[in-house]
Amino acid sequence: MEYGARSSNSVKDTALVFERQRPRNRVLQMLRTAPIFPSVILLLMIVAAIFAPFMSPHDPAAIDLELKLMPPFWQEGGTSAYLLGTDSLGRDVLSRLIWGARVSVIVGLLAIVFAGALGSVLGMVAAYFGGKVDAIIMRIADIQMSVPALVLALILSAVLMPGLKTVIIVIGIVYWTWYARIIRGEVLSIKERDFIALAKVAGCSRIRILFAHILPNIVNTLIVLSTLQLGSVIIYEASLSFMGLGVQPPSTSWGLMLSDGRGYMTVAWWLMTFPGIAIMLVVLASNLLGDWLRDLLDPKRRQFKL
Amino acid sequence: MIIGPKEPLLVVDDLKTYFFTRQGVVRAVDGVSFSLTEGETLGLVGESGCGKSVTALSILRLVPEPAGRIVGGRILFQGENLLEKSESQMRQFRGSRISMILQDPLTSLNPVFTIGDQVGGPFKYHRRGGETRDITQKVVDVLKRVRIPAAASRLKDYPHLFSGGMRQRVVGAMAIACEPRVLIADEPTTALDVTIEAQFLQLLKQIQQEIGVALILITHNLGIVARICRRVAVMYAGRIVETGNVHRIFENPAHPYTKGLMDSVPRLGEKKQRLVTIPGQPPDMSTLPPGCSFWPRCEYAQEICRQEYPPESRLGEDGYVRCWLAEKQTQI
Repeated sequence: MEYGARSSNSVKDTALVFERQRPRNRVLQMLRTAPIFPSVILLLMIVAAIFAPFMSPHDPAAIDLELKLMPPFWQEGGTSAYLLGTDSLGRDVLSRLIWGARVSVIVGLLAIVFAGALGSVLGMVAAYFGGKVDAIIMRIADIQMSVPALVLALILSAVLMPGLKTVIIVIGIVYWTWYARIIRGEVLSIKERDFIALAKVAGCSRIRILFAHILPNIVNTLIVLSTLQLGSVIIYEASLSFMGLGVQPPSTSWGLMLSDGRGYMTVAWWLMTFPGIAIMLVVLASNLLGDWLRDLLDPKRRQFKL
Repeated sequence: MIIGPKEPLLVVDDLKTYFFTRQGVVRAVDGVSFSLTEGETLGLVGESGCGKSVTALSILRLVPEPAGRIVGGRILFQGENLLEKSESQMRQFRGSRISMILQDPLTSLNPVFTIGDQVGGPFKYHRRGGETRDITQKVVDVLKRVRIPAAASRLKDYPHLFSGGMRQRVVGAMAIACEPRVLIADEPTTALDVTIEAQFLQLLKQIQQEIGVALILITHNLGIVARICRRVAVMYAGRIVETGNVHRIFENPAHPYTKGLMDSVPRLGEKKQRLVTIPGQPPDMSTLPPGCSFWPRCEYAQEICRQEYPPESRLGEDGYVRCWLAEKQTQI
């Protein structure tokens, strides 16, 4: 009896130690391992997107033909008023970059939320219910994946009116298949585990099992997948805008800037270079952040104790 | 405790659960009948694949569909036929009046929720808990009941912080949370090591006495059956071949298969050269031979065994055996 009492005490002590170290410290410890470069780039982009009206030195849509095609400030003919030069209509490139970040952030986040919600719900339903439901959903996904994404976007944009909303819808429709496939695979393995059987034994309904017991188990996958796809969504938005199917002037986006600058590539290198660099940095950053998150959320690769 | 004949709590009557596969119909459970009174312990023994688990799943109406279907029989719980209940009515029974413990404690708990959340689950689903604070108290109580040390301080722990034996206790806590009348334990100690197994069985027995739940213990371990069951049913190829009091069966097994099972348990102190085994393989359930399904492996097989399935011959007070051998003996 005495032994039992003692052992239960020691268990209690360890439990208390665990308790004390918990929630806030854990988040801090996680954040401390965040890679600096991608975090800074993405933070900069988000700050630019939120505070664009305060940060941009000029109105991004103000046309002044007298100032057209001014080079960046360090080149001959450039001024410090237009740090990164001006485009063919005399609009400030830096201001347009900052406003363009807003479009990239909005499109990136909303399109990913849309694609993620659609794809994961369909993937979960396909895996959990199986049979015909599974066959129908996954064949639609297969068929859609066999159509080149840009062709699909062309068709959709022709049907819907080009604009920010359309871009988000198009990207959501193009990307849901990735979510559906990966989530389906995850759910297929999770639904065979005993705790799902026990949930049934305890009297849970199917919907409850799907959303209260299975969904929390795939959240990690969803987060990682979303960060990794952020980069590709931003590129996709840029390509749509580049082709004129995306954001319409006078709004601006990085893809649109590339497209506008194309005609002046030989005389004004800065028109395509700066938005190009912006896209590259952001995509690289989101991929690196996704890699970090994947390692962090995967217990097998976890480098430190939580 | 009241001694004497009691109203049966659970009656399984001629239950038939078949699986319809491409290779043909698998008669996983083919006419199983037994009954269980309040607080009783029934051991369900047999080889892997003989239909023990499917019987348990059939009672909860959780046979994997669409391949599996309950095609016949009745399951009466306190007089109500569970096979006539709708899915949503069935949910009222699962977990609250009939619950279950599965084999593997390592996968029986959801890794992303705390123990407190998971044990609190059944209270919430079945609205037995009342306010949130009451639920926490009830969770602590039920964890104490399964002897989790320092239960209150472990509510916010995740399953991976618990050992296998402790996790199985937590699973047990979830199963008894709503004070069910019937608890089905499907090989609850298979994944545990021997000392923990003994502890867990001891605990199961104590809990059973405390809350008076009837226990169906599914196992292939005869030692466990001898230790905690009062009555045993031996299953072979989807049917109960022998049932009765545990002492009677152990001392005087009537069915050749039961005999084979008893003989194949190694005993300390016996100097045998080889372990005694039952010859042959468990039958392929989709192509069962006509007649008694055990005859290809039975050393006493006669002509009639190949043609007709033996009827029940009564043995003792509450037992029977299905074997032509016994049938002939009773006739003489």
